[in-house]
Amino acid sequence: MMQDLKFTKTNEWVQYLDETTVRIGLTDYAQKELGDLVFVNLPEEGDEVVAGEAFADVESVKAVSDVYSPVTGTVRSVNEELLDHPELINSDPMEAWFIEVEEVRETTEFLTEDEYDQFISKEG
Amino acid sequence: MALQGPKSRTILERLTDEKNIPRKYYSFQENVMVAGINCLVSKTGYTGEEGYEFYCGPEDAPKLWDALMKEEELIPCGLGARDTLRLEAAMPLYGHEMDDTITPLEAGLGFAVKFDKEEFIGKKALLSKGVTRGRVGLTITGRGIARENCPIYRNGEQIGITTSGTHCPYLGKPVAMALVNIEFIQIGTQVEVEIRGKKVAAEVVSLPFYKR
Repeated sequence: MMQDLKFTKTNEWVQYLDETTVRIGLTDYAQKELGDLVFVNLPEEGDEVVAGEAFADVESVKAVSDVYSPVTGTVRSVNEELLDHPELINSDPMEAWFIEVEEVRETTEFLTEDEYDQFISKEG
Repeated sequence: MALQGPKSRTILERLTDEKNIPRKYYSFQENVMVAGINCLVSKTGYTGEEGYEFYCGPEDAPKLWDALMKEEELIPCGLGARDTLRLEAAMPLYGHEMDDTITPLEAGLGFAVKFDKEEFIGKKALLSKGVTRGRVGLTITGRGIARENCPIYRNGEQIGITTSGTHCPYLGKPVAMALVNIEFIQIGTQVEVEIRGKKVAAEVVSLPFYKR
């Protein structure tokens, strides 16, 4: 499973569930940078998401930040638990997925875990 | 530099003679030594807690900071945290609850306006303008965190705008201060706040959100 995990330069992780279905979340680095999250705004099932465009936003006490979709496709499932418990994104970012997208047609540039680790070490 | 919080007095007593510490809220003492640095010490602050502010020469500021940070109970606090505290305490801030278009009466600062004075700059303007809007507190009952400049609606009509807003850690929910038309300032009034394009339910509540 872990070799199917990809990362983006906008700090999302993407897990391929099959060839055209992915699960999307926010990386551990991103949640640390944002601080304690107190609100998350998610799309709805059936919504279209577009690679490189915002599909959700997360808010810490201080500020709101967009979360960008790494893929183009249709939202098939939304992790509604996050709406009442945005702190799960802080406590376990790899488990706290945001949405699952099916019929994935297009993606942004993906990084492997090693490449992403290098990318954020330069950012920091 | 501000030293704020329930232990501020105890900590300050370690750094200066007790007689140098102002006793009354909003009073101050000049030319007192705090950790060997000449300061003006005032019993003021914008956190809603007991606390003090220090005024010293810029060249002494790092020394004062270092002396304060040697006290183990203290943690450094930035402007973001300070702004949350002042919002919980419902303290108006210039550029938000107050500016050159908002009268002190609208901002809820009537206590500082003395109409029994014969004359002061703005007296005529204040009396002729009347009060058409007022500062209120809101709790967001729907999903979302209102920030400043979110329009407020009632029955589809805009009745005001938020002036500050954040997630309030003390209440565990989002709150805001707002200026609304005077007929909607009653506690319990149900309104909608437009947060990034979405209308979210909110309720007028009494201020402050937190009182020590």
